[in-house]
Amino acid sequence: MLALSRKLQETIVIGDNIEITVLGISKDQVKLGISAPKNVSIHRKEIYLQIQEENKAASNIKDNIVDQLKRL
Amino acid sequence: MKIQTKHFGEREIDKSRLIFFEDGIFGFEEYKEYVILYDGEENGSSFCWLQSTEEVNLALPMIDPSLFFPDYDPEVSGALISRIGEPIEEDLSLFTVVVVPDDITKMTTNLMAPIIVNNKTKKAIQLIVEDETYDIKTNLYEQIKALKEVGE
Repeated sequence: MLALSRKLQETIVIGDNIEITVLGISKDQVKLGISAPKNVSIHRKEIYLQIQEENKAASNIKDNIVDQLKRL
Repeated sequence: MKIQTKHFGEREIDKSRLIFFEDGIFGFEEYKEYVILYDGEENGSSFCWLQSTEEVNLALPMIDPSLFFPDYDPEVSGALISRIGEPIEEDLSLFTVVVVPDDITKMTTNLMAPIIVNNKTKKAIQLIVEDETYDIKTNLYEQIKALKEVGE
């Protein structure tokens, strides 16, 4: 992983059209401003991972539960 | 064409029912082609299934959330929707994925990451809604019960 040091209000550029700017720094938190094309989806990683897990849990449904669903 | 399904054995489906997720769905990014199956029983279940045509064991239960959550009106990125074709409302169907644990009263649906199908282009996408107020685990059992009671 590339590690870069940036100060407040400084920016990094990813590819031609994605920019990430440090907007604020407090004790254990940084606030980032992200500028990217509208068709690029940007999300907190923990939410992204949760949704992956949720789809996996959905596909792991047991056969006897499927039968119960058919009657619901 | 004949396809193998996880829960309904072999099914004959028309090719026009195939839908394509260019980016796959979250957690299963490698599978692109699916069909939406309804179980053929008379009473009509509240659920449908997103069945992969590439991996028989990949089938996710889904609902039409408007049936159970009439106020559900998520904000979605127009640019993302445009990736599956021109965003004309009557061409789009919206579903949410359902997780059913052993205790089915604890079943939930993921209102934060709906699946949107463009019925004209046959392309589909699962996306994360812009307003992160919707819950990944929204209880569904109570909603189904409430609706059934009204119907009976």
